[in-house]
Amino acid sequence: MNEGKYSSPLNDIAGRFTPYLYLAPTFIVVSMFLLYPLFNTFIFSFTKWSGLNEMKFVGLQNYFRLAEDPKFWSALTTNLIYILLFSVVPTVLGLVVASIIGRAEIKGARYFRTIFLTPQVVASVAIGTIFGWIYAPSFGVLNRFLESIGLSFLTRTWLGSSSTAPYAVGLIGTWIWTGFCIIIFLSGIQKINEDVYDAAKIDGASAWQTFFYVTLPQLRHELVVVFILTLIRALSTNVFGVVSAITGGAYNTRPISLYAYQLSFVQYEVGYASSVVVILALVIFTFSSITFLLEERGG
Amino acid sequence: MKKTSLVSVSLIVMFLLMSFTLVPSVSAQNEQVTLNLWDIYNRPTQQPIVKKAIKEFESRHPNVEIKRSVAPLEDMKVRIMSALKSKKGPDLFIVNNGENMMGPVVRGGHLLSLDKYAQKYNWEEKLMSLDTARYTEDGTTFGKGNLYGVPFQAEYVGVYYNKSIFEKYNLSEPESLQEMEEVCQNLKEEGVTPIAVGLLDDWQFFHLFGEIQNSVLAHYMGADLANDYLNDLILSSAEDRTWDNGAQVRAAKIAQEWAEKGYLIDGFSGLKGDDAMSVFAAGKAAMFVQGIWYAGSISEKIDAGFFLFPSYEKGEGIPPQVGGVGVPLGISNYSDHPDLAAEFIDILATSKFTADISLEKGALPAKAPIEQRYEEGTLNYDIVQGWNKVNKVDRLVPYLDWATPTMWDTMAPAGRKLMKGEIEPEKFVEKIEEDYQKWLEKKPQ
Repeated sequence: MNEGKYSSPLNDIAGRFTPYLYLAPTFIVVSMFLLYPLFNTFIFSFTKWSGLNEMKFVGLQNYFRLAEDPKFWSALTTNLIYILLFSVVPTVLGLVVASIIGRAEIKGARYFRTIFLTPQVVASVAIGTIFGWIYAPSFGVLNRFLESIGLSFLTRTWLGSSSTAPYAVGLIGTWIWTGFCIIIFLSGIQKINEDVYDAAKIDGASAWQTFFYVTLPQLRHELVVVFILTLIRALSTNVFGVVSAITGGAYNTRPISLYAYQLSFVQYEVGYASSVVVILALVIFTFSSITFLLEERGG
Repeated sequence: MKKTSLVSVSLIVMFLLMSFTLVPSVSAQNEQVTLNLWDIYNRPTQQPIVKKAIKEFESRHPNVEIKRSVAPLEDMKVRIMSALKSKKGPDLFIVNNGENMMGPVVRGGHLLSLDKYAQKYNWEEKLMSLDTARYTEDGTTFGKGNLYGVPFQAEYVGVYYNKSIFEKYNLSEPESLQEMEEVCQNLKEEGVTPIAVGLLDDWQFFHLFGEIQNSVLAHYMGADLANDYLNDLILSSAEDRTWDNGAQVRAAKIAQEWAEKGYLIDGFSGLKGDDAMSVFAAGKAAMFVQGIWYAGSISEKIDAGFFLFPSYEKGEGIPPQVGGVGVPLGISNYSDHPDLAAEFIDILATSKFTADISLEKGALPAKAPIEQRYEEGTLNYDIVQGWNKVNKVDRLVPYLDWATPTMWDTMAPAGRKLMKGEIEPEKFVEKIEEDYQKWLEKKPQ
């Protein structure tokens, strides 16, 4: 009866803006700490600038230089190995393990969840130190283990060779992220209605068919989240910390993010480093867009 | 009436003007001042000295508070760069030598020249040579011109040796490169690892190669000319100098041979520097070619001695040794209190307690010579003796990676390949020369 009293045009307008009001704080914070620096980086990428003196506009010169820089291409190749071992392998392993244990009753599930998530909370420096001991040449845990089981011929200087170091570092990523993937997929599987599995069973679906036609399509959203999160870690923050702590980028283990950092703060080439960062952002954007597109099409 | 009021108004205005001009000079004595200090001096050999210097300074100036912020070098560089580009930041901050920091910061006009303070406090007399903290005013030439930083400690590289192993196999301190190789060969035949080194940390290669290089250069050129040659290359970016010569190739060949002959610890390419030190300190290797900053950790574990890297042939005198001053402290051009900041630097660098604490903790103050106060036969005694010998003949040369901003990134991968036998010594030298020539083309003129 009194509805008309409160629905003045002013209230309507205010009501329409209410959602934006709630979005505003996040938008402001993201703009300040992400969009603004990203925009600045884009501008810097067209300059020759040490970060400490006058900027000089050089057009696309940095990008042309990038195309001919073997160190950049080497870092990009290394990053592809990291995408495989920080992102693809943990996603696949996580999916497989979660599918196997997902619908089983597991005693002490909370304990396992904690164990799986532990690598997430260990600092990169500590991870670097731990794996430094594991991979150490003469007193390392891995070589000692191989010797103890009669596989001495497999012992290597794991971090001291370009043929093994990028994979040795990449496997640290697999260790960090597989547990996380398992947890996310497990929660996804537990949301799937049991009736769907019963129906598949009645229709005579095999375990593989159940996985591909029931589990996998239902985990589409989790797959996207897991892949994008691990991908970003493989390309930027997480891999940067781990590599800095364990090899410092030696023996082809330097990812693009570390190369950009060294260009900026060791060689004082902030302009050129910015072009490297722009390409890195583009790579992340491209991979993420493809993943979202695939999800939409699948949906 | 009118006249009276005009006079009184004029008097009031004059009084006000005078009071305004007087206020700053009066309050400068009493106003609360904060000096911001951003540094990296967090080693146990440095922390107590900086803390004591702050205490001493604040007791002299009760109205001044020093606000200190400490972080690792790379993190601190990022912070300093971010602050300076908006012409802000601390009054005092670390400024690493050479093109790795000081050059770009001077060119940006962010550092205050400290020459007038050097004169006032007599730093040139009280401290060792400060050339590696100098740049020309335009920031184009390193090693000469204005003083932009003052260190309070110094360091150098030499050879640690395990006395028990040397005694057991009846070995003595080698006096030539040939004797050094004989010692290594004997140890290897006895099944003992001759030299611990961790080349997963690039700087361990720079130091090992640098010492061999200096010894070879001194043989071919004479020690004094080798000193000049290295200073020209590393500090002055001299256009008439080249890395590409027979002596450099010979040095690279010796380093490679040491790896091939098994004089270096197994798996040296995949070992971190600190782990190599741990291997040596555990008595598992006979020698460790490294800087004095490891002395404290080593003397805690084993009875070790220290000698200068030997000359190429016996009797050639002391070859140049890798080392120099620690990371210096500079004053920002934007500081409102440069005089106070300079006084703090003076307290930090020249106080008696700086030398006392440094020596007590196994470090060296930025002075030469240093009064020997250790007992003969101890590791620290050897280090101080070596320091005084090197400085007496003025044979301290800077770190190789200071030569160009990209030298680290060039020499490190080339060095790894050299030591694994993946490239010839000639190719290694060629890569370094290529990096140097590129720098000569693009360096600020």
